[in-house]
Amino acid sequence: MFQPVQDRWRNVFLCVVAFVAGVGALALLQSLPPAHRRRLTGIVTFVVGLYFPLEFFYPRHNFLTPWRDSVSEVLRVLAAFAFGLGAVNLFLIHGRHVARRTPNLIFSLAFFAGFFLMAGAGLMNDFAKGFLAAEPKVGQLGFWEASYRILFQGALLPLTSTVFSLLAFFIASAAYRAFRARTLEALLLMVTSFLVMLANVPYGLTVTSFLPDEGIWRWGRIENLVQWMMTQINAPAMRAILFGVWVGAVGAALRIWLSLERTFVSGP
Amino acid sequence: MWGRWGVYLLVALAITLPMVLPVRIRMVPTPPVRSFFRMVEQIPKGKALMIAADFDTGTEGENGPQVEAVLEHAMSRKIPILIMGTAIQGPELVQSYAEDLAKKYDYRYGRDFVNLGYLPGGQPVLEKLGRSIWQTKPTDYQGKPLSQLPMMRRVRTAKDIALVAEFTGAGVLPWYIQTFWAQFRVPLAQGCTGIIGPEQFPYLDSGQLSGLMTGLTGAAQYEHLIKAPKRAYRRMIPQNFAHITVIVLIVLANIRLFAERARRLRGR
Repeated sequence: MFQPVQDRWRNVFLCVVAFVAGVGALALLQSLPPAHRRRLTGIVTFVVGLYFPLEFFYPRHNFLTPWRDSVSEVLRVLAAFAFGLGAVNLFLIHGRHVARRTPNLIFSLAFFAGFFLMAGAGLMNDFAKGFLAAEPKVGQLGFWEASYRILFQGALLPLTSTVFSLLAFFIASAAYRAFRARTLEALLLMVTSFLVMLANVPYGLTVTSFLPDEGIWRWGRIENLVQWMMTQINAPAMRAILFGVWVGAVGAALRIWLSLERTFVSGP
Repeated sequence: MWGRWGVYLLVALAITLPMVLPVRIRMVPTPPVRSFFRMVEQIPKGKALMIAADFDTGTEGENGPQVEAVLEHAMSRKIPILIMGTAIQGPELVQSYAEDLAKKYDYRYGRDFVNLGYLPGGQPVLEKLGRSIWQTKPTDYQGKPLSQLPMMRRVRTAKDIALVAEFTGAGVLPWYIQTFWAQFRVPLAQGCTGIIGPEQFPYLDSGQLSGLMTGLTGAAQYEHLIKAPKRAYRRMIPQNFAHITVIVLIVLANIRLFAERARRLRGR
């Protein structure tokens, strides 16, 4: 529907106009009485929420189809706004800890240090490689790129992986306490989990790897047995759960679309 | 209290000792991993493989080796590779693996592989991407126009993609099923973390997923299939012993349970 603007300054001008118009619209919305604000938000939600079902359920290439790309672009812009909103939220929360000097002050300072270091190194690496450092030659690793790599691959990557790998200890402890054959159901759960675990361990798979992978004997191999369990027992159960989840999601979406759920507009 | 710390100590020993001791394990590929391998093996000449890097540093420990194994397989077959992601950090991580492997297989950026970077907006944006890659993302991850990247002259829509290999630690697979699989008829294969593995089996059973690699064990099995045991294989050795420790702990806990029950019965 809309073609991308090629002219740089026209693009900048349109961005500024869009920003001012957005802020103005928000200010106008904020100045309205709460009842009017809720009604207006409800109308906008209903109209926007109508687009995708109508476009999808109408036969192909209907009058709404040409708008599909533009609506996708709007969604991308909104997703980008969500990041800004997240950053603002983090600043408010951690800024409060710093201002009030709460016992969590040290964590908030760590957040600010991490945020500015990472953002600074990333922005400089992308837009100003020569800022306060020698401009790197072709094939050379510049100061900002090296800083960014150290922060991303040398700090963030091992830190987040460490947090994730701590799960090993908790899962082992939980399994030790939970998998006890107290009842028939618990015994069934334990035997199943045993087989699934064995199928995920190379040594477990080698236990039955001497059996032929064809004929009746193939069902004696742990990987085939577990594959059967996962697709014939686990999959129907997961399908039922997912079905419930998505029916619930449709219900929640309908409630928001018809403004029956108003917490997103006016708070709980 | 001591029980929990004892479990933690045993798990720590089971993970660290195999790192320093010369231990070898034998990998037995499971049917879903073999299917994944076959899908990459069957990509026709000229068609591209799309790597959807929907993971971040938190799950890199599992998703990273999975992507590396698939990249190595695709590069050994001279398949053009298109990288993108609906998670911010994913495409950047995959870019670093691709650059490392590119030297070995004489792959050149722009000619043999292209990185579109992060694509916000969820399912509607993927739908647009399938219709027109050039219109959805006219530049690569560094802001370079696609017109300057020779590979992209041959890769314009979903028709030019033979397989979408999605790697994730979150539940974004339905976006790809609703777009690439249902609308554009592009086969899907997935590499997921061990935790969300059971959720993916309904899609495997229904044929919407043509291959599945679960967790680090899946990556190690894939490495075995391409005869290039690397990161996943090395990491699988400690995980193998950690799993065995958990199995032994469950057995011990149940022996203790039965012994206590027998003592109580004798006491009556």
